[in-house]
Amino acid sequence: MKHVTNRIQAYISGELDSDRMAAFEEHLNECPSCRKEADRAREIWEMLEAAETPSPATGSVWSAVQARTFGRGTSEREWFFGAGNMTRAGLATAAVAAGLMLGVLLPAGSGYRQEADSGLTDSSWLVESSWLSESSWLGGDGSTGLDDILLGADLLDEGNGS
Amino acid sequence: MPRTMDDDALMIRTAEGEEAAFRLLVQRWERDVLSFLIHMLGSVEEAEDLVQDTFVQVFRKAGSYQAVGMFKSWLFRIAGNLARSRLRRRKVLRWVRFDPVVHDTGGAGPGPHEDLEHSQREDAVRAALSRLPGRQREALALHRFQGMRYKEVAEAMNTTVPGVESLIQRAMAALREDLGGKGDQL
Ligand SMILES: [Zn+2]
Repeated sequence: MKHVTNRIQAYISGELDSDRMAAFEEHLNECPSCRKEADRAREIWEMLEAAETPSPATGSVWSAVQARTFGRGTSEREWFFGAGNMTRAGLATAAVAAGLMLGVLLPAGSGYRQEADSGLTDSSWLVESSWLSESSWLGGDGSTGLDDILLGADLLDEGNGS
Repeated sequence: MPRTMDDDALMIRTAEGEEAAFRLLVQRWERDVLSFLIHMLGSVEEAEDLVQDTFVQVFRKAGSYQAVGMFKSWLFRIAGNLARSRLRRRKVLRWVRFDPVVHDTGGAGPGPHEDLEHSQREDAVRAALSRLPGRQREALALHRFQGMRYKEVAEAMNTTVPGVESLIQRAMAALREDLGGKGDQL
């Protein structure tokens, strides 16, 4: 009997075509081992519902976007290269400051560090930026091909003047 | 303007400089984009910042948009690129603890007692998500929370359907390891 564990996620995700779905379900009926795996996977899948973000308050997005696109007075260029960078610089400074503070409060080895897959060190608590290497994050070739056609090559450089 | 106008039609009008069409697009998608960016960045404030940037980019790129019915993928590719760019700029040290007050931003909600259990579960799941490698988190957020098919996720992430499947499988395996043993506490 060939197990179907490698198709469990596609099944839960609704990505199996009808033939494969029928074969999958048939196997599940006969195989307690795969059924147990599928149940556990389903449980995690449903647990994720807890992380659904609530409907955020809306209304302010349009007025801000309008000011930066159709708005008179403040041109988009001024926004990007003027006040916008001040905001971003402030955020970056605050982020670094917070990180440094936490570096003091939660030194490495305090139990919060975890090994993620792909050999990347990741943790929600204190992380060196090295885990975010270009190749792993951008899938090897970075943002090329369709990205350039659809979005323009300048997109990834947006706001990098800091 | 008819409210049922689809995204492609709105994009064509946006490219022609029609403000009302662009406004409809922003209002139609702002919540989804914000939700995705919160999952990616773990910070409501930064996410709100990038929602604006995303739509400004949509406007700037409207002229090069190809109206082939893949607006959502195109939109989330822009948002994803901006999120990655922002994450790359978190140099030296990075604080990506998913904000436990996210669920409080709506102000008045359920009382502290009935909300406590839910909020603990929510924090645990968010924290587990935040520990995923970036691309796994992105694929999972697009598929699980934005309801995008593997094909749409692949388009948004500039990869293949098997590539998306692999990312999601690995993400789920990691989450299972992370959350699986805590089922009773959650
Ligand atoms: Zn089996």
